[in-house]
Amino acid sequence: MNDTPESDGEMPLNPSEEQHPRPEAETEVAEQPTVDEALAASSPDEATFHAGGALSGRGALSIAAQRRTSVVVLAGAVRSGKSTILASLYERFGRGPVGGHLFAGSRTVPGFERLCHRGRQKSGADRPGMEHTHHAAFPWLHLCVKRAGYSGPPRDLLLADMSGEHFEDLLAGKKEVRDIPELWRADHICLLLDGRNFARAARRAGERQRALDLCSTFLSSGTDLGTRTVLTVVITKWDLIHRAEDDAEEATMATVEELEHLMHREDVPLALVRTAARSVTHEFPLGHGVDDLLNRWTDRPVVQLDHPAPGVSAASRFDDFSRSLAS
Amino acid sequence: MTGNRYAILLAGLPESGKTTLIAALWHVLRASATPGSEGIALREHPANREYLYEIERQWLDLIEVDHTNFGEPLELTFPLTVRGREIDLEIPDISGENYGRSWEEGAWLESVSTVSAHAHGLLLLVKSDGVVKPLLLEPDDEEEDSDDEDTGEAPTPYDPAQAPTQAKLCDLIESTETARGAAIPTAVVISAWDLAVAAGLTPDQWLEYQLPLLWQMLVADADERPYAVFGLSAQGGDLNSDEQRAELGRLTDAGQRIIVQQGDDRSSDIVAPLAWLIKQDT
Repeated sequence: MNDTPESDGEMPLNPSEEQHPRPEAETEVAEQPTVDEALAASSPDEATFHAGGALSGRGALSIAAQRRTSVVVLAGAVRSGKSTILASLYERFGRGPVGGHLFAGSRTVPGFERLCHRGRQKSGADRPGMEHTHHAAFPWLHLCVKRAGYSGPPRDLLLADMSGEHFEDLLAGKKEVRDIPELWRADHICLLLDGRNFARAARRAGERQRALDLCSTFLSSGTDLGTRTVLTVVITKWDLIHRAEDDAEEATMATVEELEHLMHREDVPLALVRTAARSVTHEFPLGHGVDDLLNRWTDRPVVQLDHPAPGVSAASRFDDFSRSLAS
Repeated sequence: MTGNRYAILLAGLPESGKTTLIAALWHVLRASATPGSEGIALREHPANREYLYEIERQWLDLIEVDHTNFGEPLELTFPLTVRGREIDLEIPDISGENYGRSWEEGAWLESVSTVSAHAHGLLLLVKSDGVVKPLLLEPDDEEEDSDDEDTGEAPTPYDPAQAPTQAKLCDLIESTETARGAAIPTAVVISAWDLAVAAGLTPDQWLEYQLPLLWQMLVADADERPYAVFGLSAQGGDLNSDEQRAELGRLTDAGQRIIVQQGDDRSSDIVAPLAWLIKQDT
């Protein structure tokens, strides 16, 4: 077996380009206690809550407190493809290793199975009313993976299957980033551009504006959620853009360039992943792009300790977190 | 191992062959003239052996072995010598329905959870011709703007009983290790192996091709959770086939019916998976 350690690198805008290693980031922060560990220690008798096969915040924290864990949030509107990406990733593992990674376990296998069931429904995985509220209450899915040939411990991922309504509320000003603990705990934010909307000329402008606004919201949140070290732009349903007859592809990439410009102050290249989880064209296999996403989540360092705390007192932040967990 | 006690969690979904394995194991242990792997031999007959004789009789008569225990785990203890050392091997007979129910309802019987918490090794059975494969996500080929309308089709309710075998077994290992608080050495036993032999695969290859999620989980964490894969046919053939039943019936040493395969090695040593597990703890 090869004994190659997992790299800490950034995926460039063009996935075919060489990656830039960031070897020191994870070890620099390894010894410090996290907000999660402190919270988990404050409620040791309520370690894990399950519902519908997913984990509550406290259940997620019990995992984060035990092992070094990367937290991933997929951010996008309702029906933008968030749940489908997670279902597709699990489905790909059900057929074999993904992106050089082995499935090493999951505390939420029943949750993934439910998600796949929703994805197989003809009316679509994110259609409101299909266990939508259920998943909003218990958003966390757990996945443990290990790079093939790597002799170190597996990598734990906590994946937030959050309702798109949270992000709609952010855009509408009904909520702030600090109101959504899953967000300010995230190590990786995947900003989803809905390919179905870019494939339709009439919906392009709205989708472009939504993406720019969401990115701006992250950038102005007082956290580093909108920065290139945390944020990955994910174009979903790329197959629909690809098969559209007009300039859908150019329009999509123009929006990506605008997003890149928003974050122009950084040296790190903007990460972009194109996915076609339920592809309808033969150019892209089912689950196209999810292996790139997984590599991104495991290659990048865990950075949440670098996030500046939202501008409230520590007690209030814990209260916010506790309220979200109790909901 | 705790003192002389070694506890095995014999786990598997309904009809995976757990009781048949116990019946054949009991017969071999009590009737065999020579010790099995690791010098394993029965030290003395267990005190409560009525159930063992009942299922052994069915097995000897080439009848499908009934699982009569649908409630609490049935305590079974085999007093053994293993390489000259006295060991009490505990293999509670737990109904597969208990494991199925735990997947469907998300909670184990407290008694099953207790058995798991105190187990030293896991003997995980999966039947070679009983694998439910995962379905694939469907291509998302909705017509333009169809997401603005209700399709009128009621969604199919999720039925956890229909979930893929590999998902249930991965979750079973997760649940066992959660109850135990640590990784557990695991011997995967592919039962009804006689039905899989014709494919020419080793048990490890069969697992990789048929249950890739479980296979990955075992390979990925093999340092923490040692594992081995065995093919096992406790009956030795298809009891629904008159021809095969007649052939099996001609073997006067019923232990010779048994087929055990690890890697490319084939034998009738039904003790081999147990011996491998015990060896991990010594």
